[in-house]
Amino acid sequence: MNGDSGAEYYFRYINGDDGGIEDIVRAYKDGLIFFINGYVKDIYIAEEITEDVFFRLMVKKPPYKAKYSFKTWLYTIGRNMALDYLRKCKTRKEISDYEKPNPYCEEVSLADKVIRNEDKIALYEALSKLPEQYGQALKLTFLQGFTNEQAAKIMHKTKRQIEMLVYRGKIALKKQLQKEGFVYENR
Amino acid sequence: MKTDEEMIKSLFERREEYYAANAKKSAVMAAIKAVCGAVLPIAAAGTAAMFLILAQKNIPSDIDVSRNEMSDTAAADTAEPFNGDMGETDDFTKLKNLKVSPPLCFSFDGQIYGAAEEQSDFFEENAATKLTEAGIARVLETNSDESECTVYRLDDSDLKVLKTKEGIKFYRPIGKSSYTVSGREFEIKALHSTAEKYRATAIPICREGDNTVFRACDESGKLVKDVFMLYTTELLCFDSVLWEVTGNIPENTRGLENYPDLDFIEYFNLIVLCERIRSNGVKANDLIDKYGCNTDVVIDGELISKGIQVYYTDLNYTEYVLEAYADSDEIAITRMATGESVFITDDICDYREFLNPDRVPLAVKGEEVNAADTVSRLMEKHVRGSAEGNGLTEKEIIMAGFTKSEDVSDKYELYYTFNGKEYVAEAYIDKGTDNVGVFIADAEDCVLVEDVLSDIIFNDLTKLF
Repeated sequence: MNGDSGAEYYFRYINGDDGGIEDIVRAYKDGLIFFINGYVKDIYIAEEITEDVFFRLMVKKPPYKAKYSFKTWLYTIGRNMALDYLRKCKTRKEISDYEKPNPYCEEVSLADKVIRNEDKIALYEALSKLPEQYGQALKLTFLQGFTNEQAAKIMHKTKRQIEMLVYRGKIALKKQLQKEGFVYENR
Repeated sequence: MKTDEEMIKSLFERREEYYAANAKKSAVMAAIKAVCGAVLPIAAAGTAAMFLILAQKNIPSDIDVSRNEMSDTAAADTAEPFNGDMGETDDFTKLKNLKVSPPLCFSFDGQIYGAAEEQSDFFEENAATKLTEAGIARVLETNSDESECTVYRLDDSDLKVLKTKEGIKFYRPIGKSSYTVSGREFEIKALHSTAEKYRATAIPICREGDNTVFRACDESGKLVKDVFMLYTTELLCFDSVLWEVTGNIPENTRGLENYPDLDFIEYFNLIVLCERIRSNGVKANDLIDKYGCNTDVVIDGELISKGIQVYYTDLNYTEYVLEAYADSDEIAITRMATGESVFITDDICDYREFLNPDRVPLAVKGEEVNAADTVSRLMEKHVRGSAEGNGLTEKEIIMAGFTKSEDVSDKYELYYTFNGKEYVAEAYIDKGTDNVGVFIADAEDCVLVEDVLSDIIFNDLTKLF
């Protein structure tokens, strides 16, 4: 999947072809949930926000400018909506806590679909324990394949900041892995 | 979790509901208009006018009925004050005789209530039959003289209702009415229209999280007895508003030296300005038409464009510039220290996040000179620089105690402790301009141990396993 395909789907939808939005959902849903989950730490909330992102595209049809790839643009919207959600929760102090199935299983299942690599899933779990900024920078650049520049756009950072986050993140990751008993020299 | 197809199905169902709800609201408003014979103002035009007037008078807007929230879009479309005189039920025909003007907000039972955008929906479904008297509320903002009003409870809802001479009005809770800042409790006792009088001269005296309490000063800078203001972001829809508060304020305003020049107050305007720009679709030329140009863009002696540049400084010494040029619709804000920019006019821009980046507390003036203070002064000098150069040099940061990083060639760093927490200031030399960019990080999160991972390329990380 590349950004041009996403843009093509979106323009199809804008021009009246509902199939365009269906293709967008199929192409980006899992990755976007996975990404948003990094912010909200709740796979079900992440799924709801992801649906809201698509819904926003459907009814508001925000203009997409080809300055960045469609995927970068979509993830930026997702990030903003995730932050909006967190802000509202912080303000209203009413994070719902309804009964859910085991979210961890769902999260691992989703990670499996997005990452498709057992080693990387183990890495994902370690990344999830890092400070949020490090974890997001590493997930975007490593697990989801964004360039530093694209990750910078999504996270509203400069490219230089992303480079430093990745650098520091690697150090923190190493410490985290060592804490969990990984001895990488022997593997 | 939903499958792709389930989510697609859900999305199309939601879209149908959304369109149906909009159509229904339009029909309801048309019916109301027909019955009342009133001319309903157009929401966008009304708020745009408010924006321009408020900005000119340097008054923060209080209610933003056209916030750019997707879930509120439908309600915002029909958010005009409803003239409740339907003339058909006893309850509403009596309203004509009431003298209470609808306040913009009031305080009741520990909560602040603001006008509810959902009123037309609730009017249809509940208002005529489910109102019970709840008590007397204190009016915080109104265009009339009333200081109190009778509040009615709407069953099965957290909305409150007022019967006013303009009809029945619905209000929703937007936040609590008392706050604790630095261990002291404050209660909002008046609206920002009172605080506005002292806005330009207010001095911050204590701060905790997003809440800052200010002491009022008159035009000559003299403290005004018993007048304090609260800045808080906790009140929904009333962000960035200064509220007059009462509480146990220390006479000793020891914090005065902890803040930069009073122009920081402009920071609040920046947030409000951004909200107005975004929610009302204001473009660069709208601002230029209103305020005129104060800067020229000249390249190689040729005038390229004219526009506006407005500088703001926040409580952390961070300076921003808002720019609007005649040759573009875009309006941008740029953080001077880092050169990062966002277009407020960009639909996906999160300017709030941009204006409130995660920041470590800087060292404050007046403390014993130490590394933290050094960093503070450097940062202050840095952020007050201009595009032509910030005046901070490599030599200067070395003199200040920064040492060259062993990991990154063009980086200098200085570790220091502030308020018991360790930070690292990192200075980067821009080879192109010789300018120095300074960043501060929580040292706990980036323990720079020499030899750790320094020889591992990130793409090879999976080899660790």
